[in-house]
Amino acid sequence: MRFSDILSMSLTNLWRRKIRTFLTVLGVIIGTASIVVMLSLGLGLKEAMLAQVSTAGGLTEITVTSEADYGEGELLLDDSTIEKFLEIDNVKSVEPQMSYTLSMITGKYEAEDVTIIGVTQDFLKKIDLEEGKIPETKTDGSLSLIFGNQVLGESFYESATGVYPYWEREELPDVDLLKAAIFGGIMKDEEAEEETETDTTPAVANDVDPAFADVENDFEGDFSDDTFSSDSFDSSSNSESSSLNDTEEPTTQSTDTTEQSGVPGFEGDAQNFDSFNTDSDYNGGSVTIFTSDVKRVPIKAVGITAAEESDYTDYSYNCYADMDTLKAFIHKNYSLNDIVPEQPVGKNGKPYKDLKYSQLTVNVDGSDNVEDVLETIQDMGYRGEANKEWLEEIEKEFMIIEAVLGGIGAVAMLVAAISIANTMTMSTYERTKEIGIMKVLGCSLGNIRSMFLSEAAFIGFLGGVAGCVLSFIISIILNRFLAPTIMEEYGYGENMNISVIPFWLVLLAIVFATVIGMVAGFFPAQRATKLSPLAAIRNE
Amino acid sequence: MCDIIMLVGTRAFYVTYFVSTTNKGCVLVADVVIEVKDLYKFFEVGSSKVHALDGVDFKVYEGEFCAIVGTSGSGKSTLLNMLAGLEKPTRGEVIIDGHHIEKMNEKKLVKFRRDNVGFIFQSFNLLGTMTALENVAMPLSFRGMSKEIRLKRAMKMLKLVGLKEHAMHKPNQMSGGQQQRVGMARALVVNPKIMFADEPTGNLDSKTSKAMMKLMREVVNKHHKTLVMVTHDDSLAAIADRVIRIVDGKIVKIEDHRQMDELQEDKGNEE
Repeated sequence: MRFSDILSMSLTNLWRRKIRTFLTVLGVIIGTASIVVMLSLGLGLKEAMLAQVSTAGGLTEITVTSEADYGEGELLLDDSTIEKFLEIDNVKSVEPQMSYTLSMITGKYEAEDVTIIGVTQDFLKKIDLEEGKIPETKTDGSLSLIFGNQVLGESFYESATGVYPYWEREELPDVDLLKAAIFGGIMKDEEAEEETETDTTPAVANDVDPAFADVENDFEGDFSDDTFSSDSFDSSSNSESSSLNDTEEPTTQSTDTTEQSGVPGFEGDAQNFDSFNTDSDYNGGSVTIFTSDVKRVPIKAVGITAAEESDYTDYSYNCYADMDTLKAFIHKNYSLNDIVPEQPVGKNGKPYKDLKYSQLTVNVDGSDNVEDVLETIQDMGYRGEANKEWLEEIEKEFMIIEAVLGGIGAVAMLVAAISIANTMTMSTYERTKEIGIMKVLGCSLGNIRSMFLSEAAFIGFLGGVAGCVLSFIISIILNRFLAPTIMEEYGYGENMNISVIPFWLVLLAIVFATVIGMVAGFFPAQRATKLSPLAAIRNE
Repeated sequence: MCDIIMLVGTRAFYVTYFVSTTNKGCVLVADVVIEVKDLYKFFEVGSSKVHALDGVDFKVYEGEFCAIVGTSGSGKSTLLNMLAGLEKPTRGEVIIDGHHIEKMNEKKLVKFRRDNVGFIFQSFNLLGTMTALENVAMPLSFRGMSKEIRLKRAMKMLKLVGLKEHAMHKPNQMSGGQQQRVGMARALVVNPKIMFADEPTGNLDSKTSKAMMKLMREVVNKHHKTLVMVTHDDSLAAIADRVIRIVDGKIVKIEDHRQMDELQEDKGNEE
């Protein structure tokens, strides 16, 4: 029998019992839709995640972090490393990042060890700003920063009381970063502690800008010494060398200060600062880390990253500076022997001659080459990570999520399959005589089986197609009415779809429904082939 | 029964056809199409055994209209089922055109029926979803024939049975007689060697029955089909060439009407 004949016969049979066919198909529609919608939710989440990842760097990046962070190895990241990486095949560019921390003070608020990341101009241009502008490269030793939108709330506390207004009272410190005068506190390494204890006055006098000379006096009471020491790091082995450094310090510092005092508005702000410090002096509970031995340098906030007050982006918790600007700033404020915050030190506890990067971002020309490049980098002994690698992990996790969601949807499909089996079994009972006649007239068993199988498959197919249509409708409804609230809540942005139905899913769903129909129809079909042709002879 | 001498390849046999059921010299000039040897069929009904067929032997020759006549429960239907391979005998042989039917499996039987057998049912058994034309064409579709050729041939058959105008009618739009004629066309369309008819007039009134029998007779004569018909009606059986009477699973008598016809004709001529 020709396939077209089998098909048209099956269709005729389905058509002649419209209601039953419709009800059975309805089961498959619901089964298909439940699987597709469930999977589309998983896919939607995955897509939102991927979108987030690709805005955060995409799939062609390899991030190489400094081993110094993990206290192992001698392979540090510097310009020579960049050269080395650039020689690897398929590497397009290498972008360095350098970490640095700086305590800040503005008005009556201060923040301890705010992370400043020195990055390339290209990187800066990628940051969305709420207000302000991207800092230009300046090598005069000044420092202009983009502030993460969370820095103000997360890091700044009242100098006088140590209270974080954002955490305690849920209000942001009353500071307009772009306009306020902000000072960074350059603290010479903690090992100075010993000296400050024994010989406070000279150290203080040396470390603070002459511009602050008048302020200095207020600091004479050593109220903050405890705070200071508690902040100190534990590398006391370095104490000797650092105290030596300290004594050398004044010369370099004083030359710097003449330049710095030229910063506009600086003088006036210093007045405010002065008065503030006087206040805090009266306040016995002051916890300021800006003790008199801390050198104050003016810094500027030129931009704030985009996002709502409570929103989190990749840039929210750090400040960003131009790499060269930051380098110049560090060179100006620290001598060669100073230990710069976040910079690694050698085995002998001395700082390296040049500044080391905390992270290199290696851009590969295509995501297919990422693995090879990553391997090369890792063979060189560096600690590299690719978004891609991480994504693969995530994808595995999502596969589990999708399997669970699909499994839930599959329950409805199972019920639909049982319904198909039932319908087809009923059909064989009903058509016992007809099948008998066909057998007597010479219809082969295979043809009879095919006829029933194709009927069942067609029920599955119809259900699959209509199920996909239904899924699309549900998906549209979900995306329109549910996605804006849910996706925003999870931080994916309100324009992301919660339910995504790719073309392959549609195809797969239809094929799956058809196969399910055939599987469900197999035993009824088998039963039909076994029916006796004698049924045709029997007379009712 | 005497032995039969077969002359292979003789086609123009109807005129020269002669069979003797007596022991006197026998001359035979026709192919044996169906040969039944020592056929038994037992049914287990509860603890007792029912002998539906109790040792049946006979032959059917090519181009012959053979009627199997018996009362209800005589085993005539069982016999027909076995000839068509719809039921397996308990013992014995059924040889059709040289093939042992009783040894075939279901798959081979279906193929055998498809290629050699046409079937006319008592209750017509047309498919209600199809038109007369489609019903007639259906057996051809089992042979993988294209729709175009199929319908053409079906139309020809409908013409043959005189139902050209009803080609597009569904079975429920036709009378019993018309339906049975469609059934007949359906049996003929595959151009079978043998046709089986199971009480073909059982659901028809006497007038239609007669017309039907006449049509069957005509087909056998014109198209040289071998037709085996089962019936309980003696008067209908009278039109057959040979009548096999069966009682309680045993053949009690085989009549050859052609001889009688000739006798009757002779008588008529004398008158």
